[in-house]
Amino acid sequence: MSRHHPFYLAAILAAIVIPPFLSDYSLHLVIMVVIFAILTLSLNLISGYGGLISLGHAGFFLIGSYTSALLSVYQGWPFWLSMPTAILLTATSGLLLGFPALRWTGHFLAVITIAFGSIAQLLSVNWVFLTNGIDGVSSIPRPPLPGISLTSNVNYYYFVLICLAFIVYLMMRLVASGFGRALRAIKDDETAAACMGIDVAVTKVSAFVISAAIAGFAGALYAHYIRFLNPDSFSLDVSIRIFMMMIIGGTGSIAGSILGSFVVYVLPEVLRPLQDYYYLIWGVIVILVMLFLPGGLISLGSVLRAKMAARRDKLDPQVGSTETLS
Amino acid sequence: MTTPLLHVADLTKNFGGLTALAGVHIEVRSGTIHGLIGPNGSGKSTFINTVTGVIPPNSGQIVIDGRNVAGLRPNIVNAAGIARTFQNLRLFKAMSVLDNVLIGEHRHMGYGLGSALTMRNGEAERHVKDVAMGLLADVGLAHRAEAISGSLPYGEQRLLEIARALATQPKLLMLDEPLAGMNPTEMDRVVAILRRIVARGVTILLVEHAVRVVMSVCDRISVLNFGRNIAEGSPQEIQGNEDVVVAYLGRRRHVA
Repeated sequence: MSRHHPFYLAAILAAIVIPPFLSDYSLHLVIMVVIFAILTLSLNLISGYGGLISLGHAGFFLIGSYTSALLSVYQGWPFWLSMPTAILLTATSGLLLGFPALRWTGHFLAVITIAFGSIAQLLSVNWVFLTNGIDGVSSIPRPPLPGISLTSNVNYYYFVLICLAFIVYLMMRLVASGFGRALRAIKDDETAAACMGIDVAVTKVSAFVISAAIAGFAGALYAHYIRFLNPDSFSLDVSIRIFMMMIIGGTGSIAGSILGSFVVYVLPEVLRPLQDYYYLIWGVIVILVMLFLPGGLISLGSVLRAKMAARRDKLDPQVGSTETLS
Repeated sequence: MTTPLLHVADLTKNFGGLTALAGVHIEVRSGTIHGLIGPNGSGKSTFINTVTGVIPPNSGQIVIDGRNVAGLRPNIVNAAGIARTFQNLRLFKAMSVLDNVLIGEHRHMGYGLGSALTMRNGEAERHVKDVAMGLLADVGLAHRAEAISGSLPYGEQRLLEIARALATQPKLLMLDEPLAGMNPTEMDRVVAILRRIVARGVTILLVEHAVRVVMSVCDRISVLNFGRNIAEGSPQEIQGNEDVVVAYLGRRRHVA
């Protein structure tokens, strides 16, 4: 781990120093990257560490966004009240979705979570009385902060960056805790975990609740950034995108989730000038990563080091001969 | 007459039309090594799976230390005092050797989600790690603590399963063929470990095919065949039992 520190340090420095010099459009991209990094981390908790597939995270994202937005626009609640309420409500929906996850895993759970995401989106379209339907919710205020105006996008960027840092810290604590260990054990072998005294049901449902709560938090951050919500922003496409970010960055890796969010959000924008070839090249990149880096982009360094070490051994016959003797 | 630690009565399990267990009864006395033997397909593994809650029984009683746990979930059965190993090794292969044992301790950690977030678990975490290292030392795996468990040789994986099960602090340890695939030297090592475990007050139910070991190490033996009890007694009684010999070797053909 310590080997990676220079890389991590450089990434953190870049994230702090560069953004004020970015164009408005690039700044928008990195804000979205940070919000999606929080979403990807939340998915990584249940999928990467817990082995439970969710293709419904856009549903949690939607519930968090809409709750905070509606409460602040129509009820006049301040962000610091509407955001926790959004987290609470999303966590409750995670509790409800956690129960099917006890009975079904794998493909079945994937389909159930897709259904959940679709239901959430359909509700936001059709429950016009509450959500204003396809017309959406507009004029969502930026969060008030004493002394600092978050109406400036640079400031809002630092605000979401601090939120991301907090979530990263939370995830690190969770993963290293007994709870995180139990979650990984369940992913490895559910029956064995249960026989060792782990309450599989409580652990899985807790993971879903925490994951949903974090996604709801990301939703609130998104709503008060973009200031206009409509159901289009929460399609199945978004769930799949979050899933891709996790896989491409590195399943079960915190740094991988952030890297994956950056690559999956920014790379298509970089490739956009290629027009017709854009999808082709993007597709090829995704396939190559999956083929050669099953541990995601974050594993690139260790895979390369292992390759080089293997090559050194091949070139140095002394090493080979002692190995066959021992 | 003391009450047995484990009292199983009329345990029945059907898989569709197949009766795997047909009214099995077994009493395991506290502080003993109790052998459970029988030919392949006699229901030994089904017995362990049913008692530990991995598969629910159709009927019957499973009383551990005065508490009926029949049909309860595996983690509840574990909390009631029964731990087990698996015939087809089921370690958490992606996790370190130490982490595997720490999972066994999970229920006893005394800190949960809340304290994980407030950073108050440092002391407790150190304590459970010390306990885990002690258990690893007991089975001779302390030097492997940081290795990934899936990378251990077969015999060591079996030992790790025993350490992991002991970490749950059971009253009764059920071992499903712990000697399978081991050479005589490794077997002796495991037998020595089993004797140490019993000396510490943990009762053992040993399912095993290595008859020589079972006869030498067990205090009492139960024999199953086709899901029924066919014999029960001391190793000497079992060796002399006509039904057991028939079950294992078949009936002598009478020549006219």
